[in-house]
Amino acid sequence: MAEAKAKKGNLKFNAVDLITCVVFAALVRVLFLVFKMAGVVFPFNHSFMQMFSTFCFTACCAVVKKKWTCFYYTIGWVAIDFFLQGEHWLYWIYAFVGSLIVEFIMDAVGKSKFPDDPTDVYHSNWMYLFGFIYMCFYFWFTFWMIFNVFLVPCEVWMMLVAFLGAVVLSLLGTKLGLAVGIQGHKLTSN
Amino acid sequence: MSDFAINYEKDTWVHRLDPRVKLLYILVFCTIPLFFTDAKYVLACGLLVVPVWLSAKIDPRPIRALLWAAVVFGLVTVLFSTFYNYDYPDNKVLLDLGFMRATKIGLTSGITLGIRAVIPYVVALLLICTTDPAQLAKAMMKMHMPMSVSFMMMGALRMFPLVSSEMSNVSTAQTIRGVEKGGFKKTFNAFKLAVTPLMINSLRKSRTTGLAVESKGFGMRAWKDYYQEFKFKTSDYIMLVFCIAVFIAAFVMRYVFHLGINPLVKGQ
Repeated sequence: MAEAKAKKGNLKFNAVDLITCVVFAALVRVLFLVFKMAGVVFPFNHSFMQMFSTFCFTACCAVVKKKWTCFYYTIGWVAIDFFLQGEHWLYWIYAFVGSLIVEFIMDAVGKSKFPDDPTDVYHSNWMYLFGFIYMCFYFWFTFWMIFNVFLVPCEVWMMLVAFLGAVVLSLLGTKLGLAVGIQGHKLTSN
Repeated sequence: MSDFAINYEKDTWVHRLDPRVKLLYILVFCTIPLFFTDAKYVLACGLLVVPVWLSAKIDPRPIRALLWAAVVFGLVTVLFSTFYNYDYPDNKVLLDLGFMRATKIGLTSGITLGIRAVIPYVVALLLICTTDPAQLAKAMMKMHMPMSVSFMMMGALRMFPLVSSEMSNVSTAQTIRGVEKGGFKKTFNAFKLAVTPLMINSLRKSRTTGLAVESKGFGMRAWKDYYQEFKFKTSDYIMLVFCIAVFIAAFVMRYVFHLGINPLVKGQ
């Protein structure tokens, strides 16, 4: 009983977890800002953005290894975008809906595939699937905004090439993020 | 990269505004430029921001990286639209590169869309430069936002400059050790080398900060109460009325009188 209570307590989000999510949210924006110096132009810069996004998303989930990590991480980077870049408020819809959908999928898979400890899903190869779903939501929402809200024109073939690039780079981002995140979790949980 | 704290400490009427009013201001002025596609109307939205920006007496030096990013973002929009294949019969070609053509309609669209994209950027910086993130978080909690979400937002604003300066330190260390930069391949290599120390240092910082926060009663939800009162002053009411009036006026112009639309400027 006491052990179960202690385990439940460990699964609660604390300030360290929140700040870890914040750090990864800040990291994804900083990495992208620095990467801009490499001079990759629109719309292909979004392919690389997805690599950083899935890298930080996977690493954050693996380091924190708790439910709601995806939600808080997304809130973090959307807040940075909103306050520092004047990003449109519609992104908040993505932050809540998109991240919650991914969160529920992760939770459902965790409970069905890892009944002993559902949080093991954050260290498993299922993260490739979650990273892909997260990337798809983010990519298509961004392009929907670009076309319909900002009215920036872009040829469809370019966008599709950018999407293919995003798929490949996000898989790479997930691979790196998972490796780094598992190591990070070992370091921080000791 | 960006140290906003230098600008918080000033004492202008913009600094003294209630953070909730500033949030409304940012929401209104990030939305209304996107109503219009006619350059005159978009510029008018921009001009409404200028007096507030000037009276806030913001020092642009600490935020030059973000201002530069805004300019680059705007220019990319201009460039992309200029060379986009707008299919109009009387489209005047300004520059023909063979595989790409810059047209007059493209350039006009680009300039309009560029300004539209930059205004929200500048408005958001106004909020960030004149408001302490802690005040902003308290104001959000006053609006019944969950504490953890408000904390995330405050943390994001606090952490972004820290992670940025960490990146800057790593970059300086790379320069001292002779890591070559410039061009895609070299920049990418330098970037790869920077990621691991950046992440480890940031994680270390997150643990220290997180434990400090936890030791001050965050986990017991002791942060829900604070002494500071949030009361609207006359200037807050004036700004509130101004924001609502501007939003209603823009909405009526755009959706009732169908003004401010340039049919040549369109996305997909």
